[in-house]
Amino acid sequence: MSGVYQAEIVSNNSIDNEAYLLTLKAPEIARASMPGNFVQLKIEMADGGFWRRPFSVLDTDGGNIKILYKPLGKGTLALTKFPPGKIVSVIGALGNSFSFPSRDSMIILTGGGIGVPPLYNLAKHLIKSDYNPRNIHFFNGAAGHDSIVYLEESAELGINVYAVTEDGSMGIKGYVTDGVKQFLNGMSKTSLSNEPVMYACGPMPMLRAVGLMVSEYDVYCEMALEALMPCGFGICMGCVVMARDDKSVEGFSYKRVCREGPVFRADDIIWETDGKKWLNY
Amino acid sequence: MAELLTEIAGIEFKNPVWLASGTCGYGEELTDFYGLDELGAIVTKTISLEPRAGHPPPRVFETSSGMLNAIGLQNVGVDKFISEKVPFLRKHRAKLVVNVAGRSVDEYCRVSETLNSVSDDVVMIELNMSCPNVASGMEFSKKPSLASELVKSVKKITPIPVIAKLSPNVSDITEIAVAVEEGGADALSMINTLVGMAVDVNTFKPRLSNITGGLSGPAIKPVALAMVYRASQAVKLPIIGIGGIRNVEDVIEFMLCGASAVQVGTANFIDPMTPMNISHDLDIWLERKGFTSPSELIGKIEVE
Repeated sequence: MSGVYQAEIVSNNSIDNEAYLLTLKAPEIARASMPGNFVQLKIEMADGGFWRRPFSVLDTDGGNIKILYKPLGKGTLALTKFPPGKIVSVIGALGNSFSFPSRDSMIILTGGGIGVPPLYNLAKHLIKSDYNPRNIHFFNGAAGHDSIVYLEESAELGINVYAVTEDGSMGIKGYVTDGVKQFLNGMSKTSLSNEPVMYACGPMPMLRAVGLMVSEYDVYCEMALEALMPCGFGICMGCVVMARDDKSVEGFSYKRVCREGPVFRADDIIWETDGKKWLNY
Repeated sequence: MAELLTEIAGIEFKNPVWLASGTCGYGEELTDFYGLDELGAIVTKTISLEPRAGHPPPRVFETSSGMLNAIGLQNVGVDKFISEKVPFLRKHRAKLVVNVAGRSVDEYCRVSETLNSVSDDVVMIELNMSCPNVASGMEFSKKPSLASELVKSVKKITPIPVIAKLSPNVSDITEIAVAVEEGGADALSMINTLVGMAVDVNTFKPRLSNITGGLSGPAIKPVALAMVYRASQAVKLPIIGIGGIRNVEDVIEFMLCGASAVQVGTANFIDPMTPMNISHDLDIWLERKGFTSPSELIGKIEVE
């Protein structure tokens, strides 16, 4: 159950590679939040922008929630100016969350850009639930070494962390899916008994590539989607994606990223229909 | 304490603050935040005869002090609405107004007739004569003769009082207001969204899959006020004001311009508590100004 809360900003600092770490005092949300959940922050914008902005929860710490963001749009740019002590209106915790895999799974986390936070959150929860960190493989993709986020912090969890950069300036060269494919190819050769299970989050073009990859490799995958979200709690019907729906006459229905998601099974998302992309990505 | 009780077409509402169609679903999600029985009324997402999938994304875009939407009337259809949604709304004692749309007069009538089976639950029907995002939806709100015929036909088929929801996308809204009054409407609600558009200058593509959409939010409030004012001069019907309402001052403005009640729309997205806050503040405002009922404000704008 979610609510509207007035939360105090504990800290809002620039960390590495243009990312900011925002800590909010929001005990009710911290208590309820599960990996994949998000919050809607009210951010005043000078040009008349007035929607809230959705942020996935990176971590919880006592009564605090942490959010990792990059100032890429007018909302996040305005947010960088918010000082500690300021009270902001937050709605949360919103959306569904990742399901936990079976204990002996080979857990692959595929994150692109600022899609890393919910996967970090998931890794942390899994470890807290006594999953073996050595079975968790986190592929963190970015354009280059200067834009990759939360790599060291992820490594500190004791999991396997792989940097993948498009320009090759750090780790594996290529898209994050190239890194994961190399890993999956290697795995089948060593015939590990552990079944791979994937969790992904990132920009839509990346998630589409992940969707195609897991279908080719026959790997179960859940992905947290992003969308423009006027409300975030299901009343506006604005943030939908086309998803398989056996109960509907058409075989699909438009599902709300904020309510039925943000976490969807990769094989439920319909990326294109009649060869036509339905999304401007 | 002022008395917020409001009467529209012989029906009593707890207060004059309603939820606008398309901005509150069928009420389910809002029960996380407050009890539906605390509202004046809830106007459901548009119901059509058959379920509709709606438009593909992108469906929404933020503009200066407003937003564009082209949802495409995604809804469960009237049968499923009655079997799945009405029991929930009944359980939560919501004052239920059902927004209805159709592709033809006959379709509007068939949906309204189907609703007769739950006439104990549905206090009013609101005819969506004006959705700008669906082909043919606009016609009823543009031609006075069609608007009048639609209301007349629905009135014949159902005992449930009928609200005609008007579109601002016309050259003279008073013509339509007069026509639906002649057709027998019990009330007017206005305005629906204004047709609008936005373009991505990087991709050269429209921001909405439907190309154009409906503009709502604070940006349209002055337009809505002018139209409510003009319509109130032209007809005797009670008017329910809609358009960019965010706070109690907005409500007072609408009432002074002739509205008997209001619907909160886009503001629900930003803060779902908005209608609760407005009702609370309205009580305080009336008390402070020495009024005992919001009805004392209706049409009381002072024009030289």
